[in-house]
Amino acid sequence: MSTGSTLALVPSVLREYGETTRAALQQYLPVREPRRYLYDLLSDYPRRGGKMMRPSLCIAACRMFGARLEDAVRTAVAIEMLHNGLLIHDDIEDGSEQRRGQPTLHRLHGMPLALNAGDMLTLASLRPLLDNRNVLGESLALRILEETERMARECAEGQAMELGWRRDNSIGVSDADYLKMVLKKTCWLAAIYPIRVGVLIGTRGGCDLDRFVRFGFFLGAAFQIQDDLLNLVADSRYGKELNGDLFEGKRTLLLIHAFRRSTPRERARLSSLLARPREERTAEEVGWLRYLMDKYTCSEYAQRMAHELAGAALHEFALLTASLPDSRDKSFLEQMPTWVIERT
Amino acid sequence: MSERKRLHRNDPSRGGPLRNFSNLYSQPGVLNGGSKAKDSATSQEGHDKTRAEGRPGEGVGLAYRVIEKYLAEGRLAAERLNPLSYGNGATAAPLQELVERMLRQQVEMLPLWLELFGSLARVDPARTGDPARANSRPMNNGSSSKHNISLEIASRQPVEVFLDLQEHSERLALVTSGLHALRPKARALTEIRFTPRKGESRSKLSIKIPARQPSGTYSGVLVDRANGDVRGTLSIRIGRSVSPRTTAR
Repeated sequence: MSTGSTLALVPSVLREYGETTRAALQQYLPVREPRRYLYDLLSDYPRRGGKMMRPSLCIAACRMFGARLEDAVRTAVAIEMLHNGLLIHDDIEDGSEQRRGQPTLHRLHGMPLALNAGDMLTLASLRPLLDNRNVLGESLALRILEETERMARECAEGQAMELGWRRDNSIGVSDADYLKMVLKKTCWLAAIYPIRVGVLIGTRGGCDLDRFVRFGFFLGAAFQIQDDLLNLVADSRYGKELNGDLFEGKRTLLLIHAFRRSTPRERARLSSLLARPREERTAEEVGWLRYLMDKYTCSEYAQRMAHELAGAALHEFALLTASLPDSRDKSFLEQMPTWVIERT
Repeated sequence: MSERKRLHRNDPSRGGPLRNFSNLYSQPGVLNGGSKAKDSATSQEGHDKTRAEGRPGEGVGLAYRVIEKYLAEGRLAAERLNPLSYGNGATAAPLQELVERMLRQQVEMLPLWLELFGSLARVDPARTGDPARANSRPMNNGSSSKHNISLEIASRQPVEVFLDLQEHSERLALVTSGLHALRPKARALTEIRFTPRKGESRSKLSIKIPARQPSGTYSGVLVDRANGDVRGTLSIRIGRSVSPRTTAR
């Protein structure tokens, strides 16, 4: 596993590919009326920054096979637009208050306008994918669109699972259920899809894309668990509200573990707490939830799981790329599993 | 006998059977770094394969089970939607897939070359029954005078030969690593020899088709032995009821 100075490569590549993607993304965010009610809202989340992990994975996966950056940049733009559009919807569905260190879009502009902006941003991501025809040809552009449709379906299924568990106050969610939900909700958009379309472009469709699902899953799941862990840590860099997941009653690995470990009395209290809407959960109750997680060493448990998944991702990556020549992009992808669990 | 006091494990304080292997010899939770064994002994789930507690690495095991089940479900769904078999090619390695794609492209390109360079040179068609050897006439198309290649084929079956050669290649020592069919099981055609033109003599392309070679189209590239540069493509169609012919550019 790469550590220390070698991990400097990851921030460097994220910065470089992130800037390239942002610059190209500007062309797809029109500056016209109605700005105040729509187009300013569209560019709000992308302007706030972000790690740019998804577009960077796409570009690196493409270049790892020797293709040009220009071949992947439109797809990378589409991924980032789609990601930001879905974030607007996620924030509404979760009742989140902060995104990238600022109030969420629906808190700033109200739910109807935010919802509309999310719809627009999601659909606008189709434009760069259609523009792929001019660079990659009709056939490859169509295959990328097919991959996008698959990802959107997986993503919606995963989101539905999580929202359904919360609505029904499901308390029997297992680790396997959680991993399946994360596979669909997080991994497809965060890792599997960007890598698959990157490889698709890089090999001009000459590679079995299913081979990259495992790597994307392990990488994405390690990323999500680390995200859940960071949610419990107060740090302005993280950009989300402290304990936001607890207020929202999200079925994280930590919560599932806490529930499993609890005594019957604790479990009854936990169930009652989670059954109430977010507005009715007090800071005191959330504090008790934190106490419960500390008591049952849930963070350590989740951390261990994240580390194991990162190790599995490294293993899968080594199998996938053994025959590929060394390159900066290959090293970047190789170091991603370590980076996702060490990021703060 | 030892004076040391014998170690004694306290009776387990459990309310039900322990079905989790990792908890057989320790209090539940101990392996997870938990010191709260007393509370966790009443944990509601201590039994199935849907959790990752226990020895290090079980998280990976669980994750692999989830992803393999997911992939298996995907395969099953795909099989239902498309039950057709592609033969062994469906499970071929990526390199094999690339080779197949390359060959397919070449096969698709050959008819185009046919249209472009039009006229065909017929090779002695009398090839039935016993193995026969036949010398081809020089190719009689627009560029035949440049190539001036004779064709020698030994085959029990009807064959059709497509030769697409760059100009000024007839004096080079051309070799091929074999002509391959799309079906991975069909063995490659390897008995192909190119004798370069010397002085006024013609170049000669000798092809021997094994007796039981499966019918189909076999394609490959001709490269310059000196530097490995690709100088042309050669494609042979076996077993069709068409007249043997060649074409070249």
